[in-house]
Amino acid sequence: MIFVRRYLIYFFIIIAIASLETFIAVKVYPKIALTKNDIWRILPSPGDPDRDIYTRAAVAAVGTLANKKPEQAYFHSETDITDEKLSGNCFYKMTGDDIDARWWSVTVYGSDGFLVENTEKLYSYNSENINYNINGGFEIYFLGKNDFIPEVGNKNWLRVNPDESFSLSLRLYGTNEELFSNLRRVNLPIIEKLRCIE
Amino acid sequence: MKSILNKMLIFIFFGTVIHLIFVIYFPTYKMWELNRKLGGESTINNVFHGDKINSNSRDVIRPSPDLLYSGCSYDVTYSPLIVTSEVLDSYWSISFYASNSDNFALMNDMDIQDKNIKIYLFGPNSKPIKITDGYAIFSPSNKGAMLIRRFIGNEMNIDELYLNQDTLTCSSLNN
Repeated sequence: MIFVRRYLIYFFIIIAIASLETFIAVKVYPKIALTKNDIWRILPSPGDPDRDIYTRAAVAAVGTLANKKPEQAYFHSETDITDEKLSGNCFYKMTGDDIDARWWSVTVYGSDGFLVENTEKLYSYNSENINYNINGGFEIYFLGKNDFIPEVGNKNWLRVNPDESFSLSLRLYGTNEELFSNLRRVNLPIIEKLRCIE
Repeated sequence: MKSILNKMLIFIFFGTVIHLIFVIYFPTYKMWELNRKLGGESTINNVFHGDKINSNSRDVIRPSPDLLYSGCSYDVTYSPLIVTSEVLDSYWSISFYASNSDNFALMNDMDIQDKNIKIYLFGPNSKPIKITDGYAIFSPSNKGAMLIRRFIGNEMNIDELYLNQDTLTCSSLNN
């Protein structure tokens, strides 16, 4: 009995060490692997067969079926231009120029990583359905409170869940190797907070 | 003192081995889980079609509402898989994923000259056969998944995208 108990303790120590290493990997990996471009973060090779085991596991956790480059570039953001977390209690404006890709889209996700339920049934804007401004660029507003609706009128706007954080994905399809060699400097839209309601 | 240090090193060694096994096989588990959510064994070598993504879509985290998906899980252990489909003029891509989720092959509408595509998917142990009427692709694993993405855009051609779903077939060569 003592023999069994001892090896059971050994087993739990080993599992604890494995769990600790996995926890550290989850915390440290994004800081090492993600390339930063203003508000956006990107894994440079999400679906490539030659990616390392940690990239493969990270992609499996958040997307599973990612394409290899340069077919698709998948940017993600959880913060505004001042590096503060995106909040459903605030009113945001995204500003960008048309993006050099065959097509692109900006999608908003709730804190659970799924699309935000809304009566408009609108979850994203893409290069075909967005209203461009006269300079060829675009603006998208994000709001969680109805108080902000009169201000956006007929402009491009997406609803987020009030009282919780949200995140954005910028998908670029039909990109090229040049974009992937210039990920830190490529021109991407930015998002700024206009104001908040507590 | 030395025996405690040795014991600690042994614990760390085995802990690291278990950690690495988890990291390596986690994508395979996620692929299995995805297959189970999409219908399990019934989707092996059979097509599935996605509808327009909305806030009730919970199979995959961070789904894209700008794409209309179709695909099939495959098992090429005993026979190659044949995939046929019409190709759209707008963005259309076909991606193949190994059992560990690696995207080992990908083509889009601009890579394909013909209106229709036929792909033979061979497994790592398949006997080679001469292909004259399509593309030959070799999967590094016997099991995996194929996914077709169609750009919805402004939804003007949504009916055409749904019709394109109906042209997709995914079947074993021996069937």
